[in-house]
Amino acid sequence: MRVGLFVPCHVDQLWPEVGFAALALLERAGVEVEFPAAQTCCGQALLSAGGRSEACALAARCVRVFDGYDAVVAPSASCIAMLRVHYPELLGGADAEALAARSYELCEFLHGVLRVPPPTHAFPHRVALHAGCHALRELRLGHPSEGGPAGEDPVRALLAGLGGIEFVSLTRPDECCGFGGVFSTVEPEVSCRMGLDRLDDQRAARAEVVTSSDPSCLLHLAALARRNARDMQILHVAQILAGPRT
Amino acid sequence: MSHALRAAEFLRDAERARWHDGSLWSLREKRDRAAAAVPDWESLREAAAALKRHVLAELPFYLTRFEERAQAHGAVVHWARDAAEHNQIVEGLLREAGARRVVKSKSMLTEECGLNPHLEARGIEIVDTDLGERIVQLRHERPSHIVMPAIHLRRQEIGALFHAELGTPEGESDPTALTLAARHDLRARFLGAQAGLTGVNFAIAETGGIVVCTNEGNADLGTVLPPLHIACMGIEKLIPRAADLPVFLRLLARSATGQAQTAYTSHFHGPRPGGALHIVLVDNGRSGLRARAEFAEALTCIRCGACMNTCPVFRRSGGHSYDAVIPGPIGSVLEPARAPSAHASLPYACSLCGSCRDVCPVRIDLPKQLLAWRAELSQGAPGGALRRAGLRVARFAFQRPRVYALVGALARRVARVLPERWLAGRWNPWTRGRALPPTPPHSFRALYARRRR
Amino acid sequence: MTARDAILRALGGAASASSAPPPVYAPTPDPDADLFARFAASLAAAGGTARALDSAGALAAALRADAHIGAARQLWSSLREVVPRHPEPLRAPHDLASLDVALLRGEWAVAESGAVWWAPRDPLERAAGFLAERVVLVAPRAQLVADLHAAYARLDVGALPYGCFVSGPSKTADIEQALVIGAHGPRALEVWLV
Repeated sequence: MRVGLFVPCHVDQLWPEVGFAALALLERAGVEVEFPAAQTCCGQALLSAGGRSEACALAARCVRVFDGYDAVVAPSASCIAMLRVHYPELLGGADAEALAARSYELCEFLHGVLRVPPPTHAFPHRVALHAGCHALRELRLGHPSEGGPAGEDPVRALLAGLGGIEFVSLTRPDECCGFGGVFSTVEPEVSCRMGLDRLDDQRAARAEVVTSSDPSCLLHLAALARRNARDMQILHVAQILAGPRT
Repeated sequence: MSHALRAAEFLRDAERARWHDGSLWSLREKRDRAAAAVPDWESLREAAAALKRHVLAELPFYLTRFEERAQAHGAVVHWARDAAEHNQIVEGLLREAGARRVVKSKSMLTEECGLNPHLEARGIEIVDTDLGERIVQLRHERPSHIVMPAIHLRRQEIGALFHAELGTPEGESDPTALTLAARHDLRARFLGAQAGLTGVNFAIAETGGIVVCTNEGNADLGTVLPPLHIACMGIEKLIPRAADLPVFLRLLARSATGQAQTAYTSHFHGPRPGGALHIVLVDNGRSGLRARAEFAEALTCIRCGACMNTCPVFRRSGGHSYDAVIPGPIGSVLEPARAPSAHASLPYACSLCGSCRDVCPVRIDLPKQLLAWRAELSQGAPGGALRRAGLRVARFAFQRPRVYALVGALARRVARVLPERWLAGRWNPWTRGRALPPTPPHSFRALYARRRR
Repeated sequence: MTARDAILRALGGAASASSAPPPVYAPTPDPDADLFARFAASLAAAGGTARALDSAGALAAALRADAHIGAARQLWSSLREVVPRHPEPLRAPHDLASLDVALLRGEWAVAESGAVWWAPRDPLERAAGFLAERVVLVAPRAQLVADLHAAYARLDVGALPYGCFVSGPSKTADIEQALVIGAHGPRALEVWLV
């Protein structure tokens, strides 16, 4: 199986460790994985800023770049939601449908498709799972607290085998972190308030680590934590799963 | 002023904002418990969505059937193209009946048409009888929520208001005592009213009847005591048959407040003996919205308010920050249709979390419609001309990997070199509360290419 | 052009029939056997109380034994079992403004929500149901159904100008979400299923 690794633009530029952790996990799982350098961005930020035609242009390009791979895998639920949910609607046509059908979030792919056994290295920490809205409410990789269509949470399933890991219980397990793409800069006060409320909830639950399958949520939470003196280790799930070897 | 600015204002009182968020969140939790207790909840949503979409598609048929059947029961049916026509019709009916003292139960439609100021300017007294609406009426402000109009107010503020307006003791803020005072005051108004106005939750095409749901019983007191009942409704409020009511009723109160049913679900078929019933059907932009494929779905809304209770932005900014008749997620879809540049900031008052879509009893895909509005609106949208230019530049760069890589490398270099106070000034909305993003020396693609060599 | 014509034209023109029938919802039958227990719990959650009585005799006895009914200065009764002591003379619904108790006859009771279908015969009775401080709604135990689907299947909603599903006393939570029973209407609702 030939996998095309989709690295979100914000991971490429701001958090390359996450890209390498994803790469390592896929290689260890035995698939042939490649990062097509022609890729740039899925276009969700442009769509979120009202640039529908601009997003279409990027979407069409993305479909071409990832043509030929059996699966397209990204360490980002929001990018995959863009490919799976929005591309068919933006572009129409068989190619977009075909890409949507073979696009996967990383944990979804490892757990649901490849069925890799969850790693068991030591990770003796209290962990808060941040349920990203794209993962939960667009890709349906979990059970929304408000009800609605649901599915298994592959992030939890893959982390569950780690030695000494403890999942903390949050008062609002799946409230939005407030990033929301363009929202973070158009409504910065509300965006920050939402993120700080997440951090407070996690801190009240005595979490040491916050993790998610969405790097954009985590970058926003990390920037809030640093600026507001919230002592919290923020890691992408790929980094935790890849373990100390990377 | 945009939603963002008003929201920032609302958040300046951190304690109050936290309290407001908590109140609405507890309503969301009540809704969750109520929904979980109904095994066929998802099937009901599916059925409600299908029924409302069907009615919307066949609206001319259902409207004329409703009119015919309502008239057969003795109701008089009026049609109003817009808010002005609606107000003229209602005023005309009141004058004809010699009614100068009117009581009104909750009707967001009459808010939309600006009926109260229209009548008051013409010497007709109109008293809102829903307690929350009465409170905001006395304060001369808009409801901040379509189901809980006064949810933005603390009991002390209502106590002070009632002390000034109803003569309650100074400092009295107990909700029961305040409600009792309102009960006495409004009881007198019900008894003295010459006409009663209501909204309509559902209009049944097959029987020609209208259904009004309240917890207080104010729609009932307001229509049994005075001889004239005027019911105002948007043309989208129809449902096909009485047998369809249970689908909606089982969803409505649970979605709104977590109750199984409102205390009173009143069905009116024609006037009461010795009285008159006038039904005013109002378009006011609905036919236009219905003709737009991307937004027509918003007309299936049954006005439960669940989207407002779940919305993390609404809870932290308050209904008034939308500066619209209907706030929150559904308001952010409906209002730009009415006034695109005035409400251009509303579709951006959203982090696209999708929770509203999951709680909507009629399965309106609100995030999709908000995104569609963002693409549609340019005038008045946040960022203005700069935003459109930025989008074009972004498209240019993201279509050329080498340009994108160069820009990225340059931006990270600049961010590492420039002093933080230059980068994190008031001009930068990101840094108003957050640290600067990380600036690693090499991108993933640069390191990957290096490894592969 | 009239407003009616303009609106119908904006909607695509008048139509004498719909192009497709409305979708029909097939409710899943509730397997719950103890409908009264469910009804009582639902009504209690809405601030009312439910009572089961075995026979017409038990009803009459309960009415006689009720001290509040006995002491009421103004009472409305729609029940044959109790001789009504209306305030005299009754000209209009407004004369019921100080009504203490209204004894009303309900029809279908709904276990899922604690609601009872009440179709008052005339405006006086309707006013009584809302102006009274306390309402006792007497309905046949045999007409207790599981949910609203079952109730609407048995109802003719348009038979009278007014019909109401009553599922609790008048209430509001408009002040800081604090529940207050007795907003404008009755402060107490009891449903007696006979």
